[in-house]
Amino acid sequence: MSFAVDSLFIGILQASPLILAAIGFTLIYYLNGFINFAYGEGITFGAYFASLFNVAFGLSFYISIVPAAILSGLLSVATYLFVFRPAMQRGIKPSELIILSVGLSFVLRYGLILLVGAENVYMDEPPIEFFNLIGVGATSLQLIALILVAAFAFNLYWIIYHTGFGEKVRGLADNPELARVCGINPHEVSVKVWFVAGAAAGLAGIFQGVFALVNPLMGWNLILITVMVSIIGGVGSVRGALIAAVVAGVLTAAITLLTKPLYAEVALLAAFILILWRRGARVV
Amino acid sequence: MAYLVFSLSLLLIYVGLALALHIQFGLLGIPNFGVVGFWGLGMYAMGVFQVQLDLSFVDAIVLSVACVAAASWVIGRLVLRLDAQGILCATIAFSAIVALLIVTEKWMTMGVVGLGTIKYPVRIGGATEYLYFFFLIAVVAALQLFTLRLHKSTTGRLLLAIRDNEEVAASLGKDTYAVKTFWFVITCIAMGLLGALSAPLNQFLTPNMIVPSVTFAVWIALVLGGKEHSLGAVVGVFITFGIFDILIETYAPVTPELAVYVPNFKLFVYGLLLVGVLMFKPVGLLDPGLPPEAVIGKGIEGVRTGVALGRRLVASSVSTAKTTSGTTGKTGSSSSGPDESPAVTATAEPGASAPEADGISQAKDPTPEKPS
Repeated sequence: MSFAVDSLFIGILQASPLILAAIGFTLIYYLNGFINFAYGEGITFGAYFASLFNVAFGLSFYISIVPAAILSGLLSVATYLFVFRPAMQRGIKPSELIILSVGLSFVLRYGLILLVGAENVYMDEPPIEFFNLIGVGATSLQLIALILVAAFAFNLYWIIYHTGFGEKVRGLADNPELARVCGINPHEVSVKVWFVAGAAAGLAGIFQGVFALVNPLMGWNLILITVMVSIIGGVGSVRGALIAAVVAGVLTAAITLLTKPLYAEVALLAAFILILWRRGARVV
Repeated sequence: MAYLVFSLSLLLIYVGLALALHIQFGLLGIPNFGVVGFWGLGMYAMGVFQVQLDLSFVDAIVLSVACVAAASWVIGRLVLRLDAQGILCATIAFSAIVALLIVTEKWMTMGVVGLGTIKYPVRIGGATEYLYFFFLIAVVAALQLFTLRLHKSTTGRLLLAIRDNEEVAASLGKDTYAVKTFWFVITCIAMGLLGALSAPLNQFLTPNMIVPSVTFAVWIALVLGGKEHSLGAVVGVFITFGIFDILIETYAPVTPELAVYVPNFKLFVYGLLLVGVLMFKPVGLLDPGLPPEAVIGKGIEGVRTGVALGRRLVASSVSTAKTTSGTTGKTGSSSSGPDESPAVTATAEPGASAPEADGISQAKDPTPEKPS
């Protein structure tokens, strides 16, 4: 019993950055239909933007979240406007768009290393209080992250499934030609979606960074599991990505409590390949 | 000089990997993003068999290749029915599993401590590395000739048919799944064999060799050179690895302070090159319609001018070395004057089996050499 509670609680607490990253990734995948590896650099840049305001300018952590998330949203829009949109207009196939996104993530990641160096950066944490909930310890920071993530996720869920804008997004993803005929401006919708996705990536990076540390490879380390979670969660549904991210977090925590963390990763990766195989060609 | 031979041997390994990937992706359309997994499995299996079990070179190679064949058969059965994005994710997950297991299974791989020393098959004093280098040339040249033949064969046309429209190929009575599995396993075996052959080259194996950047370096080279052209792999590797890891790291006058930035700068430029090629010339530098003979002809021309240019540069560097001997840092390599001329001919030699690379770098930079 206590093992189940432990792994559920630890899983949900640890999964909050993963949930955000998976939601943002799924949005782009849903709309444009390709795996965007450069999305991982949005996570890294979010953390670096936050540490710029937090460490270099000395702002409080909670205040520096806002401009950092906006900046990473703008970065995401820039990659869409200057790289992916021209590429898609030239008729480049999805499998080549993936390679393109790998190239772009190299440019961003190693450009960042050339600019600021590869050393670890530690953010100034806000004062932390410890809570004791149903026998498991949690910090105020973890709980605030969880609440923020929940608020973001429910907002987004509401927007996608219950507003006119969400209807436009779903329409464009399902049938771009029909959506265009109906008077939906694909450009405007895409820019907004890429902004929201980039902001989600940035927030994921900020929390990942304040829980542990900030370094240029953190986005790359998170992107693989993000891709896995989004694909297992049923691509193209924000609902599915939410559930899959929580389940993956809980599963990782459960396996980690039983064995070494590296075995947990191996088990997750192997499960991912088997799930892909069971689902057959209708994965994507 | 010994370092140059090591770099050139590594370059050959990359050419081989890019050739195997060319058959997988360029001909068959399988986006294998787990190149480092198959290569690393072969390399570590070789290390384990040689160091832990004390097997002979040939036995260890055969067993390592068998391991890679088994792993790639299982992966192939699992993923080859998926579409491109599914295959991509599954193979990248496979390579991550290989990298993790190498760290966790310390009893076998020594984990982060590292596994060594892996011996060369024969040791003949100082000539060992050179002999092994020529052995690698033979292996990679065989792979290249095989690829050239495959392009002209009926099998090659079958692979292209499956890549372009699997349904039509299947409706013509071809067992596309079996063909894909067979060629996937064969090419993964080639990657594993190259891995096993790079184990003696590296001598000491550590888990940080099994990183995704190996996969991406091979991909970038192939896409840049021309993924559908039989010589694209060679051209791409010479332009990326040849220029950055050999020309710049060995010859460029980089100060030690700047040298720290070179690896990161290299990967940054790789990324830029990849984005640029995909945006402006998605087929790569070599158009698939270009016959290999034309490429080789251009390459020979390029090598001739390259050798002439190299001779003049060596002559000028010898004369400057005589006047300013005793300089510090990387420039010290150019002060070892007489050693330089065999080095230049050595760089031109592998170019003879694949001369077009020099031709292209030559064509890109037609500036005449400056008189000293």
